[in-house]
Amino acid sequence: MNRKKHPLFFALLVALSFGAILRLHAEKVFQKDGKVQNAKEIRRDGAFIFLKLANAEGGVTETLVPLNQVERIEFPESAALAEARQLWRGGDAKGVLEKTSEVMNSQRVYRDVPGNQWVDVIRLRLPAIALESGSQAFEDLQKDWTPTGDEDLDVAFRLLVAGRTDPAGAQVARKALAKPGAASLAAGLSWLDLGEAALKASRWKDAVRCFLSVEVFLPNQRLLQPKALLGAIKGFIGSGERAKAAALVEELKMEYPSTPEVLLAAELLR
Amino acid sequence: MSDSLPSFAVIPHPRFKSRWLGTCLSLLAGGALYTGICAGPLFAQAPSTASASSGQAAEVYSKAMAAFAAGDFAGALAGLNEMLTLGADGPGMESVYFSLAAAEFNLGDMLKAAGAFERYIKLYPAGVKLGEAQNALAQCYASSGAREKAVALFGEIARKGGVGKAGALLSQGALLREMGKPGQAAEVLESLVADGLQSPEAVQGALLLGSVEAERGARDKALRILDTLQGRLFNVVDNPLQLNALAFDVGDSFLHAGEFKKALTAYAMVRRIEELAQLQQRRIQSLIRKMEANISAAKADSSKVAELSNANVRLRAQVESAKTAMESALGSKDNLAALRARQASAYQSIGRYEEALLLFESMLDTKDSGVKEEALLNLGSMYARIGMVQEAVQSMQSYLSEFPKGRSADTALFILGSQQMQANALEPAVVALTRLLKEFPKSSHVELGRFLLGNAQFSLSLFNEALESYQKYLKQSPKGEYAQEADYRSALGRFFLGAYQPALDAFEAYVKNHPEGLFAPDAAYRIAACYQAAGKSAVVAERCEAWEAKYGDHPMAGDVLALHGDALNALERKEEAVVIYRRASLCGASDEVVQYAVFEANKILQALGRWEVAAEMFREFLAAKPDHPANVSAMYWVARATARAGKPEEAKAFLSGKIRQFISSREQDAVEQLLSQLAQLCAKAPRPGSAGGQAVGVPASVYDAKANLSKYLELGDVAKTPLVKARIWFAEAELARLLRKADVFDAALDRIASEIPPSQLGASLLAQCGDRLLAVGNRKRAAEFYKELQQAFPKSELLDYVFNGLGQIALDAGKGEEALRFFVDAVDKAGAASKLKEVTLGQGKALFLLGKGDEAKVILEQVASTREWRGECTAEAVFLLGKVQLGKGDLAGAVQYFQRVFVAYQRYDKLVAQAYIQAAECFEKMSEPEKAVAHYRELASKPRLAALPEVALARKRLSLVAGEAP
Repeated sequence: MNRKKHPLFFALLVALSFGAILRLHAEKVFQKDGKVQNAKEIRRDGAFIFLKLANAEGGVTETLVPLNQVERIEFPESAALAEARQLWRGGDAKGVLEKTSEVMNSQRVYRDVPGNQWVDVIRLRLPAIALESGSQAFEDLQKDWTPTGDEDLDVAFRLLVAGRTDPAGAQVARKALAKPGAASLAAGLSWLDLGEAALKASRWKDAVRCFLSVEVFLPNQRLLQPKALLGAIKGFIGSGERAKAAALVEELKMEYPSTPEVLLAAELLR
Repeated sequence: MSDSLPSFAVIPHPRFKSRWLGTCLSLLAGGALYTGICAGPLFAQAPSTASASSGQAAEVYSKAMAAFAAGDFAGALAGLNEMLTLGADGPGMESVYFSLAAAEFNLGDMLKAAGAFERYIKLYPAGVKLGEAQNALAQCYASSGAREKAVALFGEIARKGGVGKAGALLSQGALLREMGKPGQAAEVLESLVADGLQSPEAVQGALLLGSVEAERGARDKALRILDTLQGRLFNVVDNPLQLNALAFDVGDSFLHAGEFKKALTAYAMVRRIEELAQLQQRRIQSLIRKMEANISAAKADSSKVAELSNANVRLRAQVESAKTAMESALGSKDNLAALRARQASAYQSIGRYEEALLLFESMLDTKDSGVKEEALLNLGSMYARIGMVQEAVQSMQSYLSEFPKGRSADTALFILGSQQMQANALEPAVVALTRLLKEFPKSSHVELGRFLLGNAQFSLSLFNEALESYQKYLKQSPKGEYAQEADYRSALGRFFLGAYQPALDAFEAYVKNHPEGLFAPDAAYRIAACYQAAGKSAVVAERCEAWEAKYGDHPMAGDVLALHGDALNALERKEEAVVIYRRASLCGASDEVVQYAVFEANKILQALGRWEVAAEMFREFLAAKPDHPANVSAMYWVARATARAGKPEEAKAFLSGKIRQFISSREQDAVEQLLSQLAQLCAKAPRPGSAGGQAVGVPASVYDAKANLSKYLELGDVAKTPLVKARIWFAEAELARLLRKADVFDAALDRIASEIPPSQLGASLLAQCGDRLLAVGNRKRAAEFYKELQQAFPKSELLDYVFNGLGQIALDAGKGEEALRFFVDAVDKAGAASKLKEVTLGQGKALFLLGKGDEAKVILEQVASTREWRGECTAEAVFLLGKVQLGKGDLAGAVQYFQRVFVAYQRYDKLVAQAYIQAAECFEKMSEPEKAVAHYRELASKPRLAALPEVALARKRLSLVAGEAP
C-alpha cells in the first residue's frame, strides 16, 4: 500500500490493527488459480484464510480461500514495522522490541504462508532480544520458535538458548563462531560476549579486537553497534589510549545519538 | 490481429547485444551483465488476417515468415522483398514492411535497418508496431553512430508516454552517459525514477543513475540511491550483482574523494557472493511459483490462456535472467578480498588502524594464495607503520616462509630487516637485508636496504662491513636521500676502528661538503677527537674553542667541553681544565659525560689540594642535577672535600641535612651510605684548632664520638618511624665498627633484625640484616629479609645479596641444584656487584655438592687465583680443591691442597684444623702412618686450636695409630 497516496486510510488501518491482533489489512491474496484478491482485511482460521472484500454496493463481503489454494499473500509494510526499521538504524534495541511486538503477534499465524513477514520481524527482533537480556521477549520467542530456514537466524537463536541452558557449551560455541571475518549474527553476538569477558579480565587489547570485529564485519547489524562501540571505548580507555576512545565516542554520538551508550561513553571519558 | 501472442522467435542481434554491453559494462564493476531491458526483443510482425492478396504472395509470405522464425533472416529478407516486387498490397503489407525491417535489424545492417524502419513509419504512421519501430530505429541510429538522432528519437518516444516510455528513457539515459553527458543522463534517469521504482526499467534506471551520480561527483545522491535500492533488493532488482557493483562504485568515489566514512557506509552495502546467490535463489523460486499459479489459472479459465501464457513467457525470461545472474554471481571471483582491502584502506586513512588490522587478518584465512600473500604483506606493513614491531616481524616471516618467491618477497625482506633493526635484533636484520640485496638486486628497496644494512652492521660494531655497505650505497646513489648520513657514518666507522688519520680525512671532507649538514657539529667534534688521539692537544683545544664559537649550546656541547678539558689537562693548564670540566658537567647531555667531567675536575682539584673548590663544585652539581645517578657520590664528595678543607663540622652538618631530607624514605638507598660517611667523620676527633675542635693549647679532653654522632643525628620534627629508628641504630653500629667495637656493630644489626619488621626497612638494611641473620644461623628469618628485598625493591642494585643469601641457605640445606641456580642468577640477573666473590665460591661448592668435581675445580681454581679475593674464601677454595682431588682418588694431590691451607692460611682456624685432619687421613690411606701421626701431632700441639673438635679427633687418632695417651 502506498502510504503517501492514502495517509488517512493508512493511519486508520494502523489504529485498527491494534485492536484486531490476528486481522491484517489491505492484503493482496494471490491464489494458485491466478486470482488476485485485494482484501480489505484477512484473518486465518485453521486451514482457511477469510477475506473481507469490497463489493459493488460499497459494502463488504466476506469470503474464504483454503490455505492450500493460496500462492502467496502480499502483506503491506505496517507503519510499526517501518518505524522499527528506523529504530534499528538508530541502534535502539528496546524501541525495536516495542515496535515489532504487534507485527510479530499478527504474523505468527501466517508463518507457513508464502509472503509472510515473520522472518523479517525475527531478523529485527532477535538481536534486540539478545541485547535486552532482561526482557520477557526471549521466553515469548522461545515458545513460538520454529526454525526460520535462515541459517543465520537459526544459529543465533540456538546460541541464545545455549547461553541460558548450557553456559559452558555456549562459551565454546562463541569461540568457534567468532572467527576473523565471520559475518553472521551469531558471530556478532559472540564477539559482544567475549569482549565483555575480556573487559572483566582487564584484557584490553582482546576486548578491543572483539568489539571492533562487530563494527568491521557486521556493519549492517546496527543494533549491535552501540554496545560494540561502547565496549571498544572501554577497552581503549583501559589500555590508556584515550584519543582512540574519544574518536569512537564521536562516532557513537554521530551514528547512534539517542542510545544510552552515548551518555555512558561520554561519562567514561570524563 | 493480436500482437501480443508470441508467434515469432525472439532473437536479439549479437551486435545489438554487444552495443548495450558497452553501456552495461560501464555500469558494472562486477562483470555480470543484464541485457534484457536495454535490448528488448525484436519480433517479426504477426501475419495479418488479411494477408497477401494472391495465392503466390501468400505462399511467399508464408515461407519468408517460416524462415524468420527459424532464424534465417537472409531467407526471410529475400522472401519479403519478393513480396514487394510481386506488387502485393493491402493492410497485410504492414507486417511485411515491419518484418522486413526487423530482418535487416537482426542481420546487423543498421543503416539498412534504419531505412526500412523509416519507411515503415512513413507508410504506417499509426501502425500497430509504431512504438517498436521507433524504438528499433532509435537503436539503429545509436548503433550506426547517429547518437544525437537516437537521443532525440528516444526522447520523442518517452514524451509520447505509454508502455515504451520507461524503456526509452532508460536507453536515452544510458546513451547520454555513453556520450559523456552525465548531467543530461542524470536528468533523464531522474525523470525515469521519479515515480518510484515500480518497473524493471525504473530499477535499472536507478542503478544507472547511482553510477552516473557517483561518476559526476554527486556522491551523496549516489549513496541515497544505493541505500534505497538496498532496501528493495529482493523485490525489484533482477540482478543483485549490479547493486554490488554500484556499492563498489559509490564507495570508491567516496574513497577517492577522501570521504572515508561515507566510503565505508557504501562498502557496508556490498553483499557476499553466497548471500546474493541465496537471495537470487529465493527470487527464482518465487517467480516459478507465480508461473505455476498462472498455469493452474489457465487450466481453470480457458479464456485467459493467451494472457497467462504471455505472462509466463515474461516470467520465464525473468527466471532465465535471474538464473544467469546467479550463475554469473557464483562464477565470479569472490569480491571479499577486494572489499576488505578497500575497507582497510578507508579505516587506515582515518587512523583507525585496529579495524584495518582486523580486516587484513581476516583475509589470512583464505584459500586464495594471492589474497593471502597480499594480506600478509599489508598486515606487516601496517604493523610496521604503527610501531607493532614484533607483529610486523612475525607477519613478514610468515610471508617469506609461505611465499619465498612471492612477488613482494623483496618488500617483505625489507620490512623484516628494518623492523628487526627496530627491535634491536641486529644479526637477523643483517641476514634479511643481505638476502634482499643478494636475491633481488633490482628491487626498488635495494637503495635504502643497503643503507640500513650498513647501519645494522655499524650498530654491531662490524665497522669494516658497514663501511663497505656505505661505500656501495654511495656509489649507487651518490645523491641519495641518505648520502650525507652514509658519508658521515663512513667517517665515524673509521674513527671507531681507530683509523684516526683516514677518519680525520673523511670528517674533514664531510664538513667541507656539508658545512651546514645535519652531522656537521658531530663531525667537527670528531675531528678534534682525532687530533686528541694523535696527541695534538693544542690543536684540540683550538678546535674545541672554534666548535663552541660556532655551535654554542648545541646538545653536544658537553662532550666537546669534556674533550676540551682533557686537552687542557694534557697541556698542564689545570686551572682552565677545571673550569671547562665544570661547564661540561653542567651542560652535558648524557649522564656519562656529566659524571666524567665532574670527576675529572675533582681529580685535578684533589691533586691541587683545592678542597673548597671541589666542595663548591659538587654543591653546584647537586643543585643543577638533582636527579643525577651520581648524586650520592656528589654528596659524599661535598662532605669529604669540606672536611678535607678543614671544616669537618660543616661537612657533618651537610650530611646531616641530606640525611634528614631522605631518612624517612624507604626507597632512598643513599641514606645508609651517608650515615656511614657521617659515622666515619664523627669517629675521628677534630684536630685542635679546627672548627669543632678544641683551641690550641687547651688541655685535651676525651672526644665523645657517639655524642658527636647523636648531635648530627638530631632530626628535629622528623617522625621516628621504625625505618628512621633502624637507620639511626645503623649509624651508631657503623660508628662502633669504625671504633673497632665489632660486638656493638653486630648487636645493633641484631636489634634491627629482631625489632623492625622487614616490610619497614630499606634495601640496604634488608641486605645487611639478611647477611647478619645468615651469619648467626637464623636462616629462616634471613630468608624473610632477602625475599622482602627482592619483592619490594625488584630493581635494587643489592639484589645479589638476595641470590647469594638464598643460595647459601639452599647450600646449607644440601640442595645443590637450587643453590647453583641462585648463584647463577646472582651473576646473570643481579650483576653480582657486591657478592661476586661469595657467589663464585658458592657455585664451586654447589657443583662439588652435586658431584660435579671437574666443573667445581674450574670455579674453585678461579676463586683461589683471584688476587683481590685473597683471604678466607681463598682458603676455603683451596681446601675444597683438596676435597675434589680426594673424591677423584688422587690422595697425593689432595694432600698438597690441604697442606697449602694450613701453611698459607693460618688465620682461619677451623679450615686449618680440618685441613690437618684431611691430610693425615690421606697419609693413613696411603699407608704412610708416620706422616699421618706427624700431622695429628702438629694439630694437637697448637694451643690456639685446642678447643676445636678436630683436635680431639687428632688425639684419638694418635692414640690408635701411635699408641699415644689421649
